[in-house]
Amino acid sequence: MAQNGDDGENVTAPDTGLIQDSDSPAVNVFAAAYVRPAYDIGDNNDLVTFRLNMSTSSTANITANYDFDTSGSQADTGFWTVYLLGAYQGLTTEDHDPLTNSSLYGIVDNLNGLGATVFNEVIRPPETANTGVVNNAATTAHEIGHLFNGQHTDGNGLMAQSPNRMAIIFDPASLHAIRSVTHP
Amino acid sequence: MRRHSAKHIFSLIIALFATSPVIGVQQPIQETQRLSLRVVADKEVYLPGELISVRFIMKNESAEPLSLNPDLSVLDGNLKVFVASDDDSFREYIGPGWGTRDSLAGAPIELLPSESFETNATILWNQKLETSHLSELYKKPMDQQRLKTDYAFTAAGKYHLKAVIYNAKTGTTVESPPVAIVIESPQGAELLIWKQLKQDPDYAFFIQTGGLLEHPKGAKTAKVANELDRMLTKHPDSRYAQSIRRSLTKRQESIELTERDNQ
Repeated sequence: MAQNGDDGENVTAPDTGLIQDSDSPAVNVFAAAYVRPAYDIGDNNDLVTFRLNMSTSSTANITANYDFDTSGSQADTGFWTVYLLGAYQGLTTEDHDPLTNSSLYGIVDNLNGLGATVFNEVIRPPETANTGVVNNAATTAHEIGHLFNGQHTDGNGLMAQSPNRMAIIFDPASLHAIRSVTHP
Repeated sequence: MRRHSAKHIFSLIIALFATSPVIGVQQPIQETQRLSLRVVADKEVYLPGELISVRFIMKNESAEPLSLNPDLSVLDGNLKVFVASDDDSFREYIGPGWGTRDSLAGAPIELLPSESFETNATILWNQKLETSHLSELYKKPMDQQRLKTDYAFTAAGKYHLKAVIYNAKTGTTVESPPVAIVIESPQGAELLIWKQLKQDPDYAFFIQTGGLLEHPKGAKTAKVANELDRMLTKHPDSRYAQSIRRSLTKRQESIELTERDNQ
């Protein structure tokens, strides 16, 4: 159950609108790096424990929230899996309440790690005015980019932190990282 | 006609700056060029596999107050660390969870002239890039940029650390002067511990973070924690002991936090 006017609201899965099962760069930003996601594992779980403020203070605290049944194939050489979690918000110091607090939009456990978390509450109006480059779908694609070794300093494209992002395509440095990694 | 075009360009520039995604917090343009950056390590001499704590001190060197985003940290990825041995060039070190936070900074930090802002980090486990599957053309530049070992420092010798602030807004960087540290050869009980630690980079990850990339009660984490506990019991006064003890406490705190959340 969410608080502050959101009581009873369902925390949804992250928006995968930019990482669709497609070769079109318009709906799959990874197409330029020759990566095409598939959603065929059947491991969706909409009943994970609700946490009002998810701790991201350590990698262990982040992964403690995962319900990653197929982690065994995460680093498989022929069949990769990544974990994607829709969460409510981060710790009280990063939930944009009050507005002078920072806003944590998304995080992964590690570069080239296991999974990504997207914080739905802080990345939607009125907390954040969504734009074409800062929104839930862009955050989801950005976080998955980290699992492929993409970094914030790759440029002003999709891997830039939200305040510095100018486009929702990967910069050449990100594409190079994604194409070079053995598994996400 | 020319004036008309210029007005259009100006309007476009204004429009681009006006599309801030922020409500409530005015993001200052980072004026990092007026900053100096200094790295301070907690000691001068370490053993291989020993946790190194560093402070990054950013000082306003100008005569004017400076408004700074508080996202200049290793976790945000705007602050990077580079390491070089005495006879080699600097390579980037990336620690656990570094560069993974996609956030919008909160209220800016106001620095008066000569005032400083500090963040810190620890150095031990290194995010090594796998490059053996790449052709030499791609492999070589990547190997030259990034530290290639699982532990940041594996051999005795003199090393240099430096930090760099990346300002994504302006595309500029601020670099610290290098600071020297010495890694000395372990002896006796400490040699025994290092021999065991270097077998598995998970020890480094655990000592640095108090966990691994799994639930704090996961099988691999439990095994590493038990082994470290055994080392601690056997050698409670070694130079590794304090950081191992802290990591085991951190793991316990993670377990308690998870259990509390699940109640």
